[in-house]
Amino acid sequence: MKRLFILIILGLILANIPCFASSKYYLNVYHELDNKVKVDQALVSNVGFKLLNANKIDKRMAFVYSRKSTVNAFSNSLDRRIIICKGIVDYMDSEDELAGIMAHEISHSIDSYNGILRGSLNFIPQAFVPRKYERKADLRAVDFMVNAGYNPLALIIIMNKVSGQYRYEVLSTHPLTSRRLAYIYEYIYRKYPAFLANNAYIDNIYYQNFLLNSEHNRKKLEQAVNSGSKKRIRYDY
Amino acid sequence: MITRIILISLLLTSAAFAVDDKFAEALDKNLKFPSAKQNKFCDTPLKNGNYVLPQAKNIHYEDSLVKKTLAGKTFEIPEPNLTYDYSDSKYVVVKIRPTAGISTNKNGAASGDIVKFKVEEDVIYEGKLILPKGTEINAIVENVSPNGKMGVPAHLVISRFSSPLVENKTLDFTINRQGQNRSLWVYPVSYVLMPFFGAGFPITFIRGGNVNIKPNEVIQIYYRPTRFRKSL
Repeated sequence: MKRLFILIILGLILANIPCFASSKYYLNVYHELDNKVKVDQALVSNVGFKLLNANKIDKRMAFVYSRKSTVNAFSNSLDRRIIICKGIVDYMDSEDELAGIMAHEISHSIDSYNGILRGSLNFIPQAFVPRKYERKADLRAVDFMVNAGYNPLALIIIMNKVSGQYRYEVLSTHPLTSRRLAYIYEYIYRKYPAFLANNAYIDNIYYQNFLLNSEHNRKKLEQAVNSGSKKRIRYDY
Repeated sequence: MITRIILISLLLTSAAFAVDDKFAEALDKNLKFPSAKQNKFCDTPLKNGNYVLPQAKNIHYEDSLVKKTLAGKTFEIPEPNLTYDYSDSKYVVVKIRPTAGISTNKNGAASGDIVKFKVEEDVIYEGKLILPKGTEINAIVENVSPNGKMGVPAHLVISRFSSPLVENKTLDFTINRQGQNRSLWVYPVSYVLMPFFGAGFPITFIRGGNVNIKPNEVIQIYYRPTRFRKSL
């Protein structure tokens, strides 16, 4: 009993330590950001509504810029708000990249409208087979970007910059980033080859890195293109 | 024994946070990090030699796939839909029917395919015949997401309807359909049956519904002559 009591106390102490550690540092960061926030919120809203209007998306959704330093963006399927965290905006070098991330989240938000009871139960397949929806959102994002006048190759760039690379995707909510990049590249290649033929990002350091790390996958696509196959390609890790 | 291990790990964790705090303070005050200790080895034999640092190469990777398959061909970048005017709500309904069935099954529609429809009734706008009955209308399959296990439905998006008889972008509609969502019952049933010697396992292989647009299905799209202005 005594040991259990000590364990509980120790657990509580351990759980509370992170609350105090470095809090001063994070507060200072927030303070410095205060002037920048308005600009970013305006940009986020502007890009979001431009994507909605250009793609004739008649579903309502709102765009929020969060000051959290998490490198993430997500769509809330309850109130259809798309949240873009400061952490991910920090990585961006162009409006095209922001549009890529937002277009991906818009696709998730549209999915939340589908199905019975105004899409109330649509979270079930999305929660249990999320990778299928992620892949779909990536590809729809390319369409949304093109219709709004953005360069879809920016989606490859921001993803190559931000997304990590897991070993296996079995327990992951997202497909492996290398595969996501390959699917996006294939989609652009087949549907909007003009962006690759006149590649505005060919000298971009992140795009160059993508060309380096996707060589095997692009070879697979080349084989499929040469054989005229339209079957889904199983891209490498 | 357990208590000791926990106490030691607690001490170690606290030390880690203490270091983190110092790091944060250093960042705050723009302090420089402590310099690395002098390397004695570098001081003696390497000190008087002339060494040239390796030059950074200007590496440039080329997209061999694009070079082999797209070079020399001309492609047009699709015109973005930025000249919209949603204040104008004038429209006429256009009833169309697919010339062949459209499906998301294995040998069905693929993203980027052109699908054909035919106008079911004459379309008249402000007393003028715009689209006579039987006019062919093309559309593009924007996205196909196949059905999956666990009852996950397929998705199909068709848009960019066009006809040579009307101006570009005046035929306005997006077909956005989802197949039957069987996951609503596949999940509960498989979970309930799982404790009975894994009887729920085979149920997880049940796939969701495909999207099927039959050739006799009439779809309503809109002719909106003023919604998209011509780009300047």
